[in-house]
Amino acid sequence: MLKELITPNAANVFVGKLGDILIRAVGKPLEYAIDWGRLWSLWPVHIETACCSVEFGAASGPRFDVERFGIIEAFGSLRQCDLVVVQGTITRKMAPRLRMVYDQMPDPKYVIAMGACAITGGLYFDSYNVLPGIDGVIPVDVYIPGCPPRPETLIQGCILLQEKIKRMKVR
Amino acid sequence: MTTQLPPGMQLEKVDDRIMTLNVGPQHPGSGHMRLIMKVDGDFIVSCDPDPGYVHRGEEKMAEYRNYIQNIPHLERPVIHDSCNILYPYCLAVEDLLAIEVPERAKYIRVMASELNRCVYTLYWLAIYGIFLGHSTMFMWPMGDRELFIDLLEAMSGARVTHAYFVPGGIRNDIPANFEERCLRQVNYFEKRLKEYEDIFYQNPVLKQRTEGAGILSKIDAIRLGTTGSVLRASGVDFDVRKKEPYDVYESLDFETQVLREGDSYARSRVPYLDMLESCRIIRDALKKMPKSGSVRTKLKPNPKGGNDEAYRRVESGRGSLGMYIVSDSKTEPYRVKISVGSFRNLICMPYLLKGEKLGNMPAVYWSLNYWPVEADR
Amino acid sequence: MSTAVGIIRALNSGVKHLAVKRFTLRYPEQKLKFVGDGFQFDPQTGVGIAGQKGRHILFHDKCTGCQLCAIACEGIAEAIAMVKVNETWKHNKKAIMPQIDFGKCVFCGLCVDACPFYCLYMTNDYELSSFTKEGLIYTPAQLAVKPSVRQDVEIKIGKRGATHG
Repeated sequence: MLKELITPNAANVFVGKLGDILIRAVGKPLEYAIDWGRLWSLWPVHIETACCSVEFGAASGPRFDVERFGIIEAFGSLRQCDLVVVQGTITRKMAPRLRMVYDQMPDPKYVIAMGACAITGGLYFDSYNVLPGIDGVIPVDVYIPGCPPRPETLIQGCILLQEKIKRMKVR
Repeated sequence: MTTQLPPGMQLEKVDDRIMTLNVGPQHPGSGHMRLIMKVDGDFIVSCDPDPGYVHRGEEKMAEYRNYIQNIPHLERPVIHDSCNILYPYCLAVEDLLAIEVPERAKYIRVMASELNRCVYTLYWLAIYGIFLGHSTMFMWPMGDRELFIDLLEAMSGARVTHAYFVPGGIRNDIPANFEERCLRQVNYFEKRLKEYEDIFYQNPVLKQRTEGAGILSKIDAIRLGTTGSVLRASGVDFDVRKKEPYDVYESLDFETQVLREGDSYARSRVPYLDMLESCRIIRDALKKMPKSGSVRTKLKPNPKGGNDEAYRRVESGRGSLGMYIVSDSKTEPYRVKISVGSFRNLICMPYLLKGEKLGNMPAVYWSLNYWPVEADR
Repeated sequence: MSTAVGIIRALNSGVKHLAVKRFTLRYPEQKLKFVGDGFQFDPQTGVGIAGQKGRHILFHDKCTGCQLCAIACEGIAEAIAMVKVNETWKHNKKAIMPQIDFGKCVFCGLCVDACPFYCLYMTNDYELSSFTKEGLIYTPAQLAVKPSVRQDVEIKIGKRGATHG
């Protein structure tokens, strides 16, 4: 009876089923752990593109202190970063550099468009040297309006991004 | 994976001795500009600044907007010093349109301008601290800056981009019991500034890094056309507030701060001494300000300038800041030229960095009181 | 010797700060208190009323659809567009009202200065972040809602430094 059951074919099926059960048992907590790690270590690239960097600096100051959310500003290497905060206007000279920075970052990576200039061009909608928003250069996850946005609005945007990461499927 | 190089960038042939080093635009020590440096070992042979990453065509766009619509535009080059960049514009337009400003508005303008100078200088000082690896000096000015930002926010309603000055005065009166709050916070801030002395300016580690780095002599400072704190750190007594007083600066009690050394330490100390003077000016202005009265002269909805031109300059956080406006009897200006302190101080960077050690680059670069967005306009 | 004294003095001034109160504003739990109820403008005197420049509020019962706010914004950011609304007001025959795109708005408040009918003001609301660009466009119906922004704390200066509370 047992001998009939343990054929190579049945053993394969059994191992496959066991694997499925294991993945189902481990996968959920593992996904949760990976998500949790990504949520609380959003490290932005140190790329200042225009004047919104003033409020980005203020957000990491003692009053607003974005490090409470795991966002460490002024981080050295972009190989260890997973967030681009586009701080303001992207000019025609800066756009290739921004794309190059984005390409060099490892996956997963997220983009926050900060300020009216980064979203739609803002005040510079008819300027000859400014891109009308960064959607054509890199994909954007969260838009933060304002010129420049208050640090509170930036923190609210980061909380929104964390919610989005929670809902994303882990790859 | 090979990344496609953007047009205009190419890999250079490596020399045996002299190496080309790019600092920026993505670099913690550069901001939004690039320095192309040739280094021989640890010494800088030549330095070629490459600005223009934030050139947005402000001057050209100002020709398509009327005098009121230009207000939010022209404050964008230096958003954390926005009162001071709007000041010369308002003065020049008032000259063009022949408007008289109410006395109370003049005092409030001076006060807002000095508060904004402190906000600018504290931001600059914070970044200077982090450039030199002194992260306490990043946290303290950033925290104290919020006191002044709160005051300016109560006046104008925005944290940094106030759009508060208009030709003919200011947009709204200061809120009730503002004077008392302002006085309390300025007194507290002056006490805090004394603490900066111990931890930053008398700190031997900082002195070793900045003293003697990038010395600019008095003759060179005048020859290269520098302004503001760079000029005053080299021993030239020049302050637009004293030499060509505008609004009510004549009646206020303050002194020009001049140091003689001309090195990075002196250049970083002059703005600090200026902040102490700003506190004096604010207190004096609060005392002498008329307690009530009109704050804005009413303009026609779409004012027209005559066939005329006007140039006014003020002392901003980075030096003298001038606005030259040409009008041709239309609602829009014919030409607006902004002459900024940042760009003039940028010119002396190649001279200062030649022969310096590479480690001195951040100390010299940021001591020039340089804000890339303003230089690019 | 003087180097050692200098370093000790610098360390001392830092150590003193251990006794200073926390300056951090714990943002999502605490929110800042602002002066007034938002930036407003009195067209009769030509002077504004101090207040926070946040999201706009539109009073439907006063708006005449005169487009002055859109004209004021034309050269600044082109954020205001006049759209048709399904409402009938006696003073608004064309039935058009401003719709504001906060992706373009720079919060300068010059549209408030332009409104002669006391109908467009600014409020204290600043939490406007969104996942999409369309989420930043506020229709007249959305603009009519008065935001309920909690305001708990402001800066207080005591003996042990500045703090929020």
